[in-house]
Amino acid sequence: MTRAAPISTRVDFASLLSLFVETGVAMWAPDFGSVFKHSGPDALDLLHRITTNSLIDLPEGAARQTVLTSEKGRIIDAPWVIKLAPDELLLVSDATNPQALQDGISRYTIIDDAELTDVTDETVRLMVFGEKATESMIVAFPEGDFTRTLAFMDLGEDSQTIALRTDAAGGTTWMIVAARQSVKGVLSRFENSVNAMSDRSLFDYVRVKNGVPISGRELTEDVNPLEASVRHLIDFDKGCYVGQEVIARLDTYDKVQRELVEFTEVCDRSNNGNIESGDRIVAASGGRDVGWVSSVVLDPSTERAFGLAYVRIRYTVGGKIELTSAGDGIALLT
Amino acid sequence: MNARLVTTVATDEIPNHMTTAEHPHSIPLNTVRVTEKAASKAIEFAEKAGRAHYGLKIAVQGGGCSGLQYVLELADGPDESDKVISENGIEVYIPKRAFVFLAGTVLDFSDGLNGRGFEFHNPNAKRTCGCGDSFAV
Repeated sequence: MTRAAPISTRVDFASLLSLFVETGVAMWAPDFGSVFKHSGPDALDLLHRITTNSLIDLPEGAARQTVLTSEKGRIIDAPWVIKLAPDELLLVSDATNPQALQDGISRYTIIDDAELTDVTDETVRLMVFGEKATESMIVAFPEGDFTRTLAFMDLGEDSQTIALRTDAAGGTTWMIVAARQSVKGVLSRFENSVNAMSDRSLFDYVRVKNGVPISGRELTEDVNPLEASVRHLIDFDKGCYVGQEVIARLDTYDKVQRELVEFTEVCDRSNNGNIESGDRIVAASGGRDVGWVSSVVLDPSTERAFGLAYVRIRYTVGGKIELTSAGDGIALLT
Repeated sequence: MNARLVTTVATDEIPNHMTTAEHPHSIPLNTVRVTEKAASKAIEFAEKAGRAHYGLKIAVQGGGCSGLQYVLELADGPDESDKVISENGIEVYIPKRAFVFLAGTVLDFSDGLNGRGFEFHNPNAKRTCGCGDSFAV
């Protein structure tokens, strides 16, 4: 597992957070993730057969999130599937390694009439998040219907701009997917409704505070969907999909070993070093390796970190734990 | 027999060096076999359905617990890219892209109270799921 640098930059971040709290909304253009076109008469059926959620009944003009798992039930990616037309889908993912989704789908495309095309470079994704996110979307796109998960907006250009309610930061989060040439037009729509242009730090602060997992940090091949708190993306009645037997067995026999929990740092960072994502978690009593830290953010008001971590279930109490850094990539579970 | 390419491999035509005697379902890896019982069942289903021209389509698609699942259906005729095999009175159509996963497979039929219906004995399958409907290579 790779260690990532701390997400927060304190000084800038405090001002940004303050603006966000004041206005109730922020925007972020992530520099990772991917968009694929998946077209052909078998495209939806193929995704239905190989991923955890039921997709075969997805209506046109609607979107649903699903999880592609390995044969061992581990998470490969958790893309949103948008049905634009009967034979035309758009797959949107937050994954830092989009190749995994492409390889995962291509591997199982044998006799199906379905073609996967990477259109990431031709598109831009913008996240609008916060309690006033929907309000801001309505101001920016008065023609859009934001009462549903998926909205289509008209920018008076050839390309289609869509907004998908992913709630990826917890609370309300809209993801706008627009053609790259339309981005200026999209941003200009928010002139009067969004003041805080976020970087990853603010998005992660809100996301982690709301306990929402994200691809690349929590949704990885190290875990299965039951451990990652995305049980709502599994349809237990749909029948087989890749990894289903393992996931069903874990669920039926209550064999899930770890869970995603919130943690807070209990000691002063200046004395104990920083807890970072990727740190192993060791039980202070007994010294057993019981998990790892997946996301860390810094609370500027307390100067202490909080975040998300995977911990063996018997060591978690009420879904929350307390950690203190022991340096050298080790966090102690107190 | 029509003009298209047909690979006919009868049991007595298989060279000895290409078979393994110990396993009842071992056949040459360049073909797919349909047992007499499976063929007669497929013919029975086709006749019940009132089909005049038909063959048995055998393919593999993504899906199932282990990642790959069998496709078995009656078809009016082969697609352009299908490999065609005549076996025990029925034509078998196999898409070339699926053949790599099916080479050496024997399709059998198991009836009776404990029978499972059509059964694939696939030497390429390294692992199968509990219900036997899907496999991994």
